[in-house]
Amino acid sequence: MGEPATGTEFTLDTAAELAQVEHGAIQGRSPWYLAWRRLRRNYIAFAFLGLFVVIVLACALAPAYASHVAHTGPNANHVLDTITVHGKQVPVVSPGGLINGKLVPSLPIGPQWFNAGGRYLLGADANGRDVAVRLLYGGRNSLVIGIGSALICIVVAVLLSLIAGYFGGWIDFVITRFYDLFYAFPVILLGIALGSALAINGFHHFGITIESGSIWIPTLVISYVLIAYVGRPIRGQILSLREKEFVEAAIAQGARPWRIMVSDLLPNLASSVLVFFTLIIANNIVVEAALSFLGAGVQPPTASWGTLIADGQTLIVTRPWLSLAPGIAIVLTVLSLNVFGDGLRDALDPRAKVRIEH
Amino acid sequence: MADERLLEVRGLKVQFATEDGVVHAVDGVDFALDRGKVLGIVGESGSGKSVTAMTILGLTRDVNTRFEGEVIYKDRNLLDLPENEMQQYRGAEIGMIFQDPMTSLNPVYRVGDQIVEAIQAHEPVDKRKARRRAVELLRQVGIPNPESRVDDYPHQFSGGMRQRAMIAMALSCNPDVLIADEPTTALDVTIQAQIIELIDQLKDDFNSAVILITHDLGVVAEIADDLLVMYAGRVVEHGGKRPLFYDPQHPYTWGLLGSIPRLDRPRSERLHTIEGSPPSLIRLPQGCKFRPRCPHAFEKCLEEPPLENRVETPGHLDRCWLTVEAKRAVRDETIEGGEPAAA
Amino acid sequence: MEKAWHGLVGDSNPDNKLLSYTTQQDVVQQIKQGIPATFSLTIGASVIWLFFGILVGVIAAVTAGRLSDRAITILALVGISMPVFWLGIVTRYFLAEKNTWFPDGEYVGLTANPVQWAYHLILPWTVLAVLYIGFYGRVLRNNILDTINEDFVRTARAKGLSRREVLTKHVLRNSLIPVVTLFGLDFAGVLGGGAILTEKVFDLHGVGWYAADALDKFDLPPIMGVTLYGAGFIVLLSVLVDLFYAYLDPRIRPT
Repeated sequence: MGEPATGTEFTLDTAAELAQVEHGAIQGRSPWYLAWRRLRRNYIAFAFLGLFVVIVLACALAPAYASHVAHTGPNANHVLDTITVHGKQVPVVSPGGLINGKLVPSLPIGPQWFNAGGRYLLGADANGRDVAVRLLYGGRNSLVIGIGSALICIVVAVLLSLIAGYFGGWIDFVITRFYDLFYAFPVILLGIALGSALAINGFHHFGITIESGSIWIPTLVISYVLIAYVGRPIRGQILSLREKEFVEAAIAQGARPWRIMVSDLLPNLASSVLVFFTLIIANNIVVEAALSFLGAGVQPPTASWGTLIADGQTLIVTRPWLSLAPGIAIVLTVLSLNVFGDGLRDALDPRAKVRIEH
Repeated sequence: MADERLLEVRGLKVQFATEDGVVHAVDGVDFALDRGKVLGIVGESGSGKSVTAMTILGLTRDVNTRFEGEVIYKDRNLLDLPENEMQQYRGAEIGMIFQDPMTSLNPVYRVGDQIVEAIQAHEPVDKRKARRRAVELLRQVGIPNPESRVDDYPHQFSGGMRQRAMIAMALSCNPDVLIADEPTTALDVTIQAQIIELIDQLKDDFNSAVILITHDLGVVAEIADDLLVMYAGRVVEHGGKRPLFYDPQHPYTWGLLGSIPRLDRPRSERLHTIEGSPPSLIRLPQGCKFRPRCPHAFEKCLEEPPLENRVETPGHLDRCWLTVEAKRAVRDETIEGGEPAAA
Repeated sequence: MEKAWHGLVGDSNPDNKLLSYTTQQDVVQQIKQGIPATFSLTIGASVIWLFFGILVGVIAAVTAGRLSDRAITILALVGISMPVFWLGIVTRYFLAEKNTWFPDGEYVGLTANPVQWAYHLILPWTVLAVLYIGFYGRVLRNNILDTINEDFVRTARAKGLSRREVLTKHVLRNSLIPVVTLFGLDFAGVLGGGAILTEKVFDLHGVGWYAADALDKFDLPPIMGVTLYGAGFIVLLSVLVDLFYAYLDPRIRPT
């Protein structure tokens, strides 16, 4: 029997119920084991997880690539330099000007692939910087911001929602109104409002100082604007867990609130938090790219996939790879996370639906 | 009234292909149903009773399902009917009500409209006429103020009323057979008896036959004529209600009888249960399927016993190797539960 | 609050109007000028994404597990994974610049020339819709597959309704309820300036473009103004969605 189709008729539900009666094989095994067993069969999800790991490794090895293959740094300008291609000296950026009576704009070198010994693999940008190097360094920043903001966002959202969902009453009221506040703004607009304000002056309050060029700013801005989108569904889940007998029993036994949160509520949230985390990283990478593209995220000269696309936009007609390459990098990264997260959700089936917001 | 045969199920087998293997949900079921009769099908969850019922209506049809045997309704084998013809039978010839009235009605439509929809699915009547019939049906199933309640949404009905509405819907096209799948399980004990009585009375009013599916022998004790006890997709005992209650032949039936709370027993005695849980329907035990849980199993049980008549009463069939004398000797002890069954 | 407002509008501003730092223009007036382009973009794109989102979701659900479902699932994920501004740049490059099949950006008023209006908007509409088509298709597919297992669907089949009647009157009707909520909020978000990326990439001078343009000069008042304008739309549409939701789902109607 091949892999059975997902039932479009409810009879398969009955079949699934009946299959659960198969106690000999399944009874006594943890839900994590069952999820792992389901996930293991999902080769597509694993293939895409592999792709994500490859991308992360490539970006992590950016310094090695820069010093041993490209022989230049991510922010080093080479406007006036020349390189050797097939034994010929070629300028990295051909100067424009009046040539034969025609005004020709200056033009950076296009993708060299391996013709220049690994230098300018994807060409140069208007400042003569190696795009391949910037792509890897930019990827590092995009990934760090994406993963970092997802982490901060999830931790804060889970904490707030645990407190709101467990204590209820006015605490819950305050926290849900706080969430509602975020829902009232388009994510991107709130992001650029905060991001641009902080990009000018940096953050100097409460004894914390973040300089204006720091990638901490986009990281914190993105995690901040998305807290509500992660927190609201988690709070809903906590509310329903709160009604469960095992939690009521723990309360009846006089267990302390933090104990109930840590040992009863949190383990039951773990599977959906894991899925959220995967999908939120994907989402945040796109949000970072959007903010940086608009100029409210990562600030020049620091590279990120979003700024690379913006930089390349002016040269799109003559040097399309400047914008295509970082875009493809984003699509592959985000797609790999989305497919894997999807498989993870199918395997764990926490029934919670994560909302992707760009 | 002459015994008019409405429905006959012969050698029915239903198998589902799942990720874990083939589920043998129903594995050889035979029975017949005459007009005016009530057949009770009893068994634990996973015994195949609901799948049997849904298969009669063709509700288990799916690419991953396989059928064997025959479901003969008025000389036609329903298993062979194409889907569009089967549709004409559902609701019109065979009506069905389900376990959970809370979820069995669509929450976004008015109760009356859902009944009207059932009527209009089979009869070319206009909406006004159909609606009047819906009101009448609601009155018949005992809904107070049916003229105004017909416009209520399901959430405005109580559980018992919703089940009554379900019955009204199932009977809206005068079906000859009514299948009730655990119709009282989700209801309060006080409502249960009312619903069962209602089904019994409507069966006479509508001159139909009823298949009543339950895990609770107490529920069918009132109104069933024949009983079918199912275990692991098989019929383990089949007979008239009286012989089956007073001279039960299969140890599984004894277990079911023992688990009915009774007032004529001393109160201190704890309610008897059947030890263990039903077998996997993917990897069934060898021989008698009840063997792993049966306190009286012996070597011969490694071979599957056939379903046959072993007692004096004709038509009383069972699937157990024990001699009738041996059964009668150990039976009462098992039912009354002196010792835990699997000790 | 009062102080913050004065900090923003400046002390030498008798009308308490929110003025741009760079151009000294009235922000509210500028936002109003962007409304026709933004509304044209939003309404057209939402029609496309709603239609194709539902179509794709239904096809995937009905053929669940088969090739078409898998293809749609993968394509939908690709659509969701593409940054809208990058897709915009790429389509503009390939379809309007390298090959000049479509006009290259800019907005033409509907009243000025309806044909040119639509012709100029086809690319932005489609680009903006792609993400939502993927998203709605997936949500609807999952909703349908959840609903199809509901007891009331089994009841509907047991009544003798045809497959199509069951699918449209019971499964789809109930599965669309959550989609309506999503649609209301997304529509409000895009109407409220959330299409800033699409507007910037295609040079559509709408509300979002105004914010993006201000962002290039770090001109804060327009950004604040557009953000508040967006919030206003979302609050308004949220109320409408709640009312419509009550109409669709009788369980939450007050009795």
